[in-house]
Amino acid sequence: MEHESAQPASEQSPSTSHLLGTVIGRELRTVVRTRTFYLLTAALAAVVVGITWIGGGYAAGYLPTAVDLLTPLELLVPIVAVAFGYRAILADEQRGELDVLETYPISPRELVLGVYAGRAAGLVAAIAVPMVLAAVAIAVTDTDVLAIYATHTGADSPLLFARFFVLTVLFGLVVLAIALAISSLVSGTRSALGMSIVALVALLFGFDLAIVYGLTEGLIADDSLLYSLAMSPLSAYRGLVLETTVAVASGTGPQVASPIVSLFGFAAWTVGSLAVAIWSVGR
Amino acid sequence: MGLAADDEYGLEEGVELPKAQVFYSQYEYVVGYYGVERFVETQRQDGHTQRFGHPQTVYVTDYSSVDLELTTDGYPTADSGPAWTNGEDAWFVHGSDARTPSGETPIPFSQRDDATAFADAHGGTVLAWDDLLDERFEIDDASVVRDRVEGQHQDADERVDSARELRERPVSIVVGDDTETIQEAIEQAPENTTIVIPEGEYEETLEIERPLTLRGDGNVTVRGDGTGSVITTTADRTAVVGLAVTGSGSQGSQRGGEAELPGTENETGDWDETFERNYASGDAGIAVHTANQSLIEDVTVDSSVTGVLLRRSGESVVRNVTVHSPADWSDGHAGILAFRTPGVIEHTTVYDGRDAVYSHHSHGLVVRDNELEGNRLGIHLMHTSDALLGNNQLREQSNTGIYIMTGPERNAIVNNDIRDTEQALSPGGSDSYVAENVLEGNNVGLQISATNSIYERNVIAGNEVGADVQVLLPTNQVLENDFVENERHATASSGPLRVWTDDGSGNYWQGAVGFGDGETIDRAYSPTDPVDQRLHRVDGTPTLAQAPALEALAGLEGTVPGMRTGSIVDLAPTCEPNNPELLERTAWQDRAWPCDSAA
Repeated sequence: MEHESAQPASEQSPSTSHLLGTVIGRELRTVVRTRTFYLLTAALAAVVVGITWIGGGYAAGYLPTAVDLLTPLELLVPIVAVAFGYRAILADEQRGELDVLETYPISPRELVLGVYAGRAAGLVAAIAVPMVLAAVAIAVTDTDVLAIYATHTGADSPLLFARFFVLTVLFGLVVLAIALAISSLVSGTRSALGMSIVALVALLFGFDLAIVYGLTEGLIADDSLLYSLAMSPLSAYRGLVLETTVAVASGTGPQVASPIVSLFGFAAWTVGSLAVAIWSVGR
Repeated sequence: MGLAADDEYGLEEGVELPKAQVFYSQYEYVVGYYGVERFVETQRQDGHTQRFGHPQTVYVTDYSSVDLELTTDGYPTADSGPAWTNGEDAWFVHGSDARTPSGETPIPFSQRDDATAFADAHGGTVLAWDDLLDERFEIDDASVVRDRVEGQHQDADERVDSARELRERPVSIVVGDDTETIQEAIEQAPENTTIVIPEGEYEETLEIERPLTLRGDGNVTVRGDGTGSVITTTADRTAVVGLAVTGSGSQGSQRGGEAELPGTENETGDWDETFERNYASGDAGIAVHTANQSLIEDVTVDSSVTGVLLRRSGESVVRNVTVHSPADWSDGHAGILAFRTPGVIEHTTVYDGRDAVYSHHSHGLVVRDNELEGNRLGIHLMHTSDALLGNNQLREQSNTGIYIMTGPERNAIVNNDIRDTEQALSPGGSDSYVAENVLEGNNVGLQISATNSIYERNVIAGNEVGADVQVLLPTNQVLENDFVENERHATASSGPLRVWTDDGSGNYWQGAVGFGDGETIDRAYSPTDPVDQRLHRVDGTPTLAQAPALEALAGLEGTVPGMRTGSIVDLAPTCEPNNPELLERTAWQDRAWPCDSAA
């Protein structure tokens, strides 16, 4: 790429990890300074804790709470993730920082990964705060459950909720990567917003409805549905949660989802999106 | 709805029953009711508004427009076809002498004076529309049929016991000792005695004209000469017990309505006289014509056309009879044929025939505990209301297991076991009760072909299509059935939304997702939905079905039910099978997994 060829003496430039650390630090400061992110975290926390409260999950245990939270998180986590990422690279470009950075010995890959890591830290916090609050609420109100750290499948335990949390974070990171790709492709705030909304509609409704259409019209064979589902981040997430957290009890009937394929779907979206972002920044 | 086709044919000329036609907000067709009371009661049913929407306009027969009189039965007659009038502005005479074949009926008039005059002449009070809607009417609907089943079994028990007393008649003649032939014995024996037929083969064609009991002693075969029926009886309280019959003629049902029939009542003037002459004139192993309270028991018929034919022989009992049908089913007619004979047919076995049991106009017929195998139709009812079909085992009928045609009413189809058949159960007509049947391994299990009926606690497992909705009117109650391991649990080709939940009770659908409180699942199940219909067999569908996009769509559709055509929805699917004992009889018990429990 152009600027790399302009900087042939790479042994004189700072190490990659140092560069990454610098970018991440800068992103974290941005996140910390941005009030919108606090607002988002607070809103998400309010919804999660509210649903835990209203749904009675806090008294019923971890698993019922996870069930209650699944659909709301499917809808809200992508919105929060997109909010965290949709202007990340665009803002650099708008402020001319990208041009400045090009004079630095930093590759597009280091920049994108650094931005991603920094924003990811913020997003993880935004997801963790509400879910930890919910978990604490369950822990303090339901003393019975606290005692049972059951390891066998099917039993209610904080471990199931922890699994749910980890999957939710992974899901958020996938969408963040997509948001970063959008952010790198667009040229203005308005188009960033527009693209983000289009992407959200596709994510939240479009892919799943397309799968239903494909299934109805015979475009998707019954026995390849598992793979189609993994292609939709939303369904991959839902499938992972249902298969590994909620539906562990029933052993009969069709498979709910394929965790391996779903995780592969997650990975494909993340790597693909970041690759698009790196390519776009390097243009 | 509201009148059996049979009753309709049977009405005298000039009878004009009161009718209502209703235009609903969410139903594309006009719905017609025989008797305004039928509408009054129907609109009160659970889920009526959900399925049809609100009645927009109701038209009722206007007897102000004609010269109205009542027949001796109380049926209204008119000199010409009466006009329609808006129901909301009409006046109704309630509690008068007026009747329909279904019972008491309010008579509508557009003019209040006419209503008052009618009430003065025939009794009753004059009501406006809103007051009429508050009235209660006794309609013999499917729940009445449900309550009737046990009593009908008991009545049948009594009839069987009573008929079987014919076996105890004193012996008057032993064939071979006292007479040479059975026919001679029949001529000579005093009435109400038993003729004993010792072991052996008898080449005879028998005619019984007086009340006698023929009883085989040992291995007895009566062989006809290949023309006509082998044994014909025209005497009340005939009993034929303990023998084998073979060698009847091969004349099937005839055309033209010209045939002379044995027994009395040849010229009845009934609307179906032609049918009677055609259908009841075929050759049979045993032909029972106008012989009430007869008994055919422990008999085997090697049939050329029909095994046992019963015509106008009410309260007769056919019991423990085995019929082997002609090699080519199209040569045969019925294993047991009941024409205008509300008898009891039980513990019989019919193999490889056209119709194993065929009934025409035998209101109150009881067909129970039979084994019917390899026939074209197992039990075939025409113009037969109030029948009880119970505990029958039907296997491998090539067309249909139980087929009820021509719109009769109030049939009970309970506890039958129908397997490996093209279509298992098609209960046509209305106000019928279909319960506790096991339908397994059929191409189509249950045809929802009767209206205003209850379909409950059936086990429908391992069929290509579990249940198929054929009627347009969504007036049935379908609840507490178990759908397991069908390729498609249920289908509906057209018509408005069918709600298969009644008073909070739904059905068990193998594969339904959602979370249960131990009894019902919190998510509606629609066997016609492209994703839901695959839930029990396609990997990944449980994940897809719970997508927010689909939930949102389902919620939207749920608010405007009239917009969905060809759809079935169960608003309260059950978590576990409702009929574990019946399900145990199928091969699919292990495939009926319970729902996830979040509690």
